[in-house]
Order: sequence, then C-alpha cells, then structure tokens
Amino acid sequence: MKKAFAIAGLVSVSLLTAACSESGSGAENGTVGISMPDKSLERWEKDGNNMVTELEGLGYDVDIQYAQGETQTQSEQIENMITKKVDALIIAPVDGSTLSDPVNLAANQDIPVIAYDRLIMNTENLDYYTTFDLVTVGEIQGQYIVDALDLDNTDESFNIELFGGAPDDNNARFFFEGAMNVMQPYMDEGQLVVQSGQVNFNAVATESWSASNAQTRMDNLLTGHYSDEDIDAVLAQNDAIAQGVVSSLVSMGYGSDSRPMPIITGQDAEVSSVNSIIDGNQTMTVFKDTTALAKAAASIVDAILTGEEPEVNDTESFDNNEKVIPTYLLDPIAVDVGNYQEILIDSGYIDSSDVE
Amino acid sequence: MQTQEAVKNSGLNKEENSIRNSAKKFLVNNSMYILLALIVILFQILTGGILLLPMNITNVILQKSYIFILTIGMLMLVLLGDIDLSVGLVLAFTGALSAVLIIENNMNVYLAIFICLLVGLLIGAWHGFWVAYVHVPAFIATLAGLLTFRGLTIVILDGQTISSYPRAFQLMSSGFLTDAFTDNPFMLTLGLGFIFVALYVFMSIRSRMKDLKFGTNTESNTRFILKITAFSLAILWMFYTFGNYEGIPNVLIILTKLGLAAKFITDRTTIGRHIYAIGGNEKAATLSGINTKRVKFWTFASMGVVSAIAGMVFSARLNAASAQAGSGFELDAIAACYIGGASTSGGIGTVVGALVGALVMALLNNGMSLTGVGTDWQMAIKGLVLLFAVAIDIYNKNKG
Repeated sequence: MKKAFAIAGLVSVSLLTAACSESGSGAENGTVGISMPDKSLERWEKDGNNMVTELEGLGYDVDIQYAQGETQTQSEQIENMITKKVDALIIAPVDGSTLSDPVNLAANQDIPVIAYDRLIMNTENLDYYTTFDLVTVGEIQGQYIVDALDLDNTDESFNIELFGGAPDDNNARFFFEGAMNVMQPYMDEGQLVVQSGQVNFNAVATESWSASNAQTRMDNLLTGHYSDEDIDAVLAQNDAIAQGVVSSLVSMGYGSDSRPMPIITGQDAEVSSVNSIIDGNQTMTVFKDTTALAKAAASIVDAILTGEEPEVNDTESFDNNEKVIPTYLLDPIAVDVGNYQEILIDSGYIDSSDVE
Repeated sequence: MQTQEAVKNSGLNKEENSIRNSAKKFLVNNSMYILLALIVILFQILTGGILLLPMNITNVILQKSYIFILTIGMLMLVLLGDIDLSVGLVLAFTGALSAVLIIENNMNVYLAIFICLLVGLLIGAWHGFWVAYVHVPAFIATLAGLLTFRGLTIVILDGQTISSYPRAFQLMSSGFLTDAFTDNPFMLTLGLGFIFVALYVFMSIRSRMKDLKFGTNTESNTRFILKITAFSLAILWMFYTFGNYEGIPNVLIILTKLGLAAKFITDRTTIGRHIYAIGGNEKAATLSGINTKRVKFWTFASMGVVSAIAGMVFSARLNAASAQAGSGFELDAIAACYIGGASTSGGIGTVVGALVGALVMALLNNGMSLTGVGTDWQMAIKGLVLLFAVAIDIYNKNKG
C-alpha cells in the first residue's frame, strides 16, 4: 500500500510540475496537435516553438509532443492526440515511411493531417505538405558560384571542388542534384574544372555532414591536386562542411592577398558560418527560414479549420506513392556579406550580439 | 469478569493480528494490482475521462503489443535468474527479415511468417547454446547478440526503411477479429466475452474442486468468489469496451494465446516447475536430477520465437521495417517483469504479474502522453517508478 501511495504521489507531483510549466490557454478555435521528431536537436525545438507561437496567435490551443527520434513513439503520440480529438494534426515525421497507419486513423476521425518538412509516404489520407524546395537549395548554391565567377561573361576557366552531404541522407542527393543542374553545362564547356575528377555524389559525399571529414578530404585534395594550381570555388552543401573546408584552406595558406579564399557556399545560416562570412572566409550560406515554414503550416491549418481553401503552390511534384500531395513550397534565400544584416539580424533570426 | 475480558481481549488481539497479517500479505502479493488501479484512477481524472475510452484502451493494447509479447518471454528467463538483452534487436532483425521476404521478394505471407519464426528459434537456440552449454553469462551472450543483430539488421535492410506490407500481414496488428463477420462488432464481441467468462468460471471451479479434493487449497470460499467475480467483471468490461470501438484487436488474440500458454507452462507443467526450481537454487536443482542445461537452452530458444512474433507484430503495426527499430525494448520488458513482482535473483514471479507490470508501464506512458507530459519527463518518471516499485517490493518482502 505504501508503495502504491508513494508512486501515486511521485507521479502526481511530477505531473503537476510538468503541467505548471505549460501555459494554460483556452481553446477558442480548437486544438492543433503537433508531432515533432526529436527534442534533442535544436532545429526541431525551434520549429516547434515557432509553430506554437503562430497557432496560439491565431487563437488555437496547441498540443505539441516530441518523439525522441523513435518511430514507434511518434505513432503512439499521434494516436493519443487523435484519441484526445485534436482538430488538426501537423506532423514532422521521424521517418516518413512509417506513419501511414496513424494518418489513416486520423482520417477515420475526420482529422486533417499536414506533413511538415518531410513527406509522409504511402497514404492517401495526407491532406497537405509544406517544405523547402530542396533542389532549389542546391541550385542557389550553384548559381551563386556561377554568378560570383561571372562565367557568362568570360571564357576563362576556374578550378572547383565539390562537397556533398551525408550519403545516407536522402535530402543530400536532392541538394547535389540541384547544384549540378546549374553547374553541369559549365563543366561540360570546360569553364569549371574539377581537378580531382571527383564529380559523382558517392565520391564527393561527406559522411554524417561532418566538418572534420570535410576538412580531411579538403586537405587531401589540396595536397594531391592543387600544389601548382589555385582553387577558385568550393561547393560545400552545408555550413558544417564549409567550416571544415575553410579550416583546411587556412592551414594551407589561403586567405592572404596573394592567395585569396575561393568562393565557398554553405547552407543553414549557422551563427559560426555567418561570422565566417563577415570575416571573409566563407562566401555565402543558404538560409531556410524555418519561421516562415512554421507560419506556412499554421496558415494551412487555419484555412482548413475555418473552411477556406489553403494556399498551395505545387500540385504535381510530391507523390507519396498513393497520391500527389498539394504542397506549399518555400524558397530558400542566398545570404552573403551584402545582405546578412537585413535577412538574418534585422529579422531577429540571429541576435546581433552573436555576430561581432 | 476481568479475566474473562482479558481472555476476550487477547483473543481479539490475536484475531486483529491475523487480520492485519493477512491484509499485509494481501498487499505484498498484490501490490502491482493496487499500483495499476491507482494509475488508472489518477489518469482517468487527469485526462478528464479519456483514458478509459474504448478507443484509447484499444490504442494502448495496439501501441504496446510488442512489449507485452516480449514480457511474456522475458519472464521465463527472469524466473531462471537470467535476462536477454538482445530481444529488441532480434525483434528488429526478424521484422526486417519479414520485410525483405514479403515486400522485396513478394513471398507468400504465411510462408514468410513461418520462416521468421524459424529464424527466431535459431537465434534463441544460438544464445541458449552459449549460455547453457558453454556457461557464458546470459548478460554477455545476449549483449553480444544485441550488437550482432543490430549490425545484421542494417545489413539486410541496407540502412533503408522498407515499407508497405500487403494487407494480410498488416492485419496481424491493425486488424480486428470481427472485421470479417460484421459491420457492427458490439454484439459479437460481447457474446464472445460471455463465452470467455463462462469458460473462465468453469475452469476455475473445476481446478478448485480438484484442489479441495487433494486438500491443497488454501483459499477461503469468500476470497475465491470475490476473485472470480472481480476477474469476470474485468473481462466483461474489456470485451464491452472493445465492442464499443472496432472489436477485439487481432493482436490481443495472439497476446492472449501466448499468455495462456506461458501461464499453463509455468503453473501446470514439469518444465515450469523446473524453471522455478533452477531460478530458486540452480545447484540444488541440478543435484535433484533436473537437466538444467536443457531447460535453459529451450527457454532461450523460446525467447527467440517470442521475439520473432513481437518483431512481426511491430513491423506490421508500423507497416514498415526500419534499421533503427528495437533499441530499448529489452529494458521495457525487463522492467515490466520486475514491476510485476518478479525477483531479480530468479525463482519468483508470475506471467500475470509481469503482464500487469507491462500494463502499468504502458498506462503510465499513455496517460502521460495524453496529459501532454513530454517524453523527457516521461522517461524520468518511468525510471523513478521502476526504482521505487522494486525497492518498496524488496522492503516489504524482507519485513514480511
């Protein structure tokens, strides 16, 4: 008996603590359930908080839960939200191919489902999808290099090396595809030369997007292929890789007046990379405004629940094997030393005290 | 007069003492049921009545079916004084195997299920061989198994998630018994409930008659009747609840069959008594002529089969097999056994107790998720519940 009391006491105390930390707001327009993949990654927590702010601003109650990166936990949490009869669900899947059952269950209860950032596969009951255009990320990087070297107005040739993302990350292939869409014609004409000859995704992929792996590979490339030549551009597909590339180049004597830093791309607008851009090491980064993504998801939900037609801008690209999902695609933005102030700091995405 | 009163008093005291003792004994033996009841009441209030909705009860069974199944197998090993750390990854491996066979190679579903069960048996036998015949500690042998099968799962899946089983396979964990017969499952389900209760009462009375005949019974008549009534009502309520939603989940039938089989083995068979004996004192058991090696070997082998069943149920539920499945499941199953009153040194524990332990964990999870407690706090609270449940259990037993 003591045991039972002790445990009941313990549980209720913990619950009260947990309950108190959540803001109590009245559901005026209904409750929206949000299922996020993992709380231990800063990105998802930021996205989650953004959506909560947006939806509460629109007068909704929000039930947000994080799944520890486990597919089965996410299914359970979604089912529990359905049991609690939320009015709409926003799901950022841990693994998009494992959630067809919970989504079908939601459909049985007439709960609309929106996939966030990653597509949910193999169900006809997914209503909407909102994400960044992944191919565009790569295209922006490629185009930036083409413009920076002014390839359209010159016959000169330049040296470039390519750094793709993690080989087991499906998105990485889309990024690479986008960059190559833009740069391949210039490579074919000999205006962009990859001295190492490494141009296939598998050859240029960076294990787990890691800065140190990128640094090692860059060291090897510089030693092996650039003892006589200078490198003019590096396609680095995210900021961590760009940082590794920068470290390698600096240690090899780049960054002086006689040997300037090459054009280096990036992605994610990490604080350290923005500082690197200001210092003139990294050249640019691609910024995916997750606040805008959260806003897009919130306004789709709001439209559905108020009986309006949600705004979408792509009704043919995203097929989840059952049907084509109407999608609201957001365009990523190129950020360099010329516009970082306006886009990243004035918008409040990065605190000005972090970039000095 | 005075003496008479004194005598009366002392008699009363004795009676009071014996009542207090038997009450204490009752609490010690049934602490997990009390814990379960308290958790149900607590969350029924906190969730505003959602916890016991038919839909939610069905969800809890479906959500944690694989843990319930693993718990049944794990209890056998816990009774032996061993544990199996590899069950989560054996689950992942057999789930992945089923996906490769059924989805990628279009194999017949039933043939594939049979192959997976066979592979599960072989894996269990592999562990059993090292533990029973080579005397590698179970902790080490199954830790090695955990690493091996995590690796092999990634190998056969090539690191990918394979998804979309045919309907026939999915039905294993998302289907309902009544699907095939009728659109309105309520009457059929309730009818099955009455049949089940009738069977249960009949079996209980028969076994009680037998016990009385041999004079081995210790239960009083009132207690027997109370117990039967309580269980019958609980069973009827379950069926009533399922009937109000979609009917009886198929996976509950698998679970019930496994549970009854395990209960029969532990309670009624020689092997069962051997398992308890080995867990109680392995040397004594060996000396009294029990083939401890064989018992251990087959217990591990059956754990393999149980893991394979859980693996297929799990994959059918997600409708996909993924390389990251299964980690941490073994700990849930082990925790369930201990919360359900099993002893860490072996020899003590029951199938029903362990399942109640698993239900306690499942309802804690479900209740906290319904009330919006984050997974971070859920983990912390589950950890503390496990610790306190076992600590107080040990304290009570030592005192009593």
